Amino acid sequence: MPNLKNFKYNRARHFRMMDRNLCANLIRHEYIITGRAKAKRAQAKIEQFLGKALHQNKSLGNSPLEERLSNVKALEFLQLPDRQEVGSKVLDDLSKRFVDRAHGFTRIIKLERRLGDDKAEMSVLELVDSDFEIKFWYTAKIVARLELQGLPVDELTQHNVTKLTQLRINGEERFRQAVEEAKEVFFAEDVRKIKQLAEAGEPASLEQMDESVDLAAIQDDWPQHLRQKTPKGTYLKNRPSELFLKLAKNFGKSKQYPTIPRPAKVEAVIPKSPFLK
Amino acid sequence: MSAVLRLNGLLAQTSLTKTIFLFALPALPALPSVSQLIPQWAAPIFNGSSSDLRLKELKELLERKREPPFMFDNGAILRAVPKKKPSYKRTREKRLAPGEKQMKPLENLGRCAACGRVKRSHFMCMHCFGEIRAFLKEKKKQLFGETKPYEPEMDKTDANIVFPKRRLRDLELAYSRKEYVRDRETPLVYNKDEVKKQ
Repeated sequence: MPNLKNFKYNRARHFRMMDRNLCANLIRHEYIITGRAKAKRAQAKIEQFLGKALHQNKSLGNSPLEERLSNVKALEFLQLPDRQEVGSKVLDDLSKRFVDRAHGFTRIIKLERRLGDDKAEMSVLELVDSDFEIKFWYTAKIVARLELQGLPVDELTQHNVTKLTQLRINGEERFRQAVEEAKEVFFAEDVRKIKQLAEAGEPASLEQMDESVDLAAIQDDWPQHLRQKTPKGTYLKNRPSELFLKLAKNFGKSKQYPTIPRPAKVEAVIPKSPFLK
Repeated sequence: MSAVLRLNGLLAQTSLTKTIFLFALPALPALPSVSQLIPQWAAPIFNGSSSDLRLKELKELLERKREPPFMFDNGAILRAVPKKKPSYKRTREKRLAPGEKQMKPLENLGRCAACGRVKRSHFMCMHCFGEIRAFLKEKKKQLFGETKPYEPEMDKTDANIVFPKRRLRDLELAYSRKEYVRDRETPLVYNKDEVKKQ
């Protein structure tokens, strides 16, 4: 991974502009896919910018948007052509989204290396608590899969779910909707089969899910761009191992310092003073 | 040896420009004649009375203004080659000694909780990422409409001058067709027995 912290003086402006462009485009598109080094460098700057801008916005109160746009000094970080469009999204939209946050507005997700000549390390840089958050949909997919398999949600997933929903507006409700949507989108084939079996009056078992699907027959009249190489879902037979399910209960605890929960407090009873009459 | 060979090639070219030399040379009596420069053994070639079929063929080719067939080894032109064959030991040492150049086994493979396929731990499952990304793109399209690529508003003649059309090279054509783009293979379904670390 190239080091983007030490650079020659004559490239300082280029690096500064890179941060600003990435910042503007991240706010515009909610998530961007870049190289690891660029993402890591830009993340710090974006956090700084968003923290300052939202703090200054809060201090201005309920004044109209145009006034705030000119008075919030942190917006000068953005380039002039982006300032109106992106700045208004920050002050109008993001300020409502990040009410209880002072930092931690962004997340980096590690991706596999790029399939090019350079084999660059790639990553996703995304805004948290948005509708287009990749981790949110990934977790929703996990929960949807577990529900279709009839398995309990393990501790690690539950930890992720609480983290994703606690500061989101209507977090739990939105997550529930996402799970239902994920079932239809990502496990379409399985849901279809379960419905078929239900109509026939047979109980749906996971063994039946793994029958190979004749995609060509299903997708015969589909448009070209919607056709899939592999069927969506249909790997429900592959469950987590029993050892995993057993260990999953302790995922929240520290391995290094296994703590025993403190026993309930017993109220001390002070004996009566013998000097009292 | 190489000087002679180069002369050989030169002679083949001079035979084409023979007439020009004939006109030019009489004006400069002090200069030596061309026949003096040519070695005796090459004189029949220059005169066109060579018995070698290969040279005749070469001459014909040159007269038709085709590229000279210097690529094949006709016993006259040789190319640079290594001086000695590298020994078996040296080759093996070069390949196997540096540990960093060798392939290392993937020990951090795990099971993706969302699709049940193999995934590197601490990394996003690329299969799920591809699905989610396509899904979010479609969702964005439905919400905000399709985004068009930026096109500057321009007069047609202006556009022709600023962005002149030209014939694309093969590489550029391949680029525009995106033939070179590789698809990521769908990962295998996770099986505990097939993974190194269990």
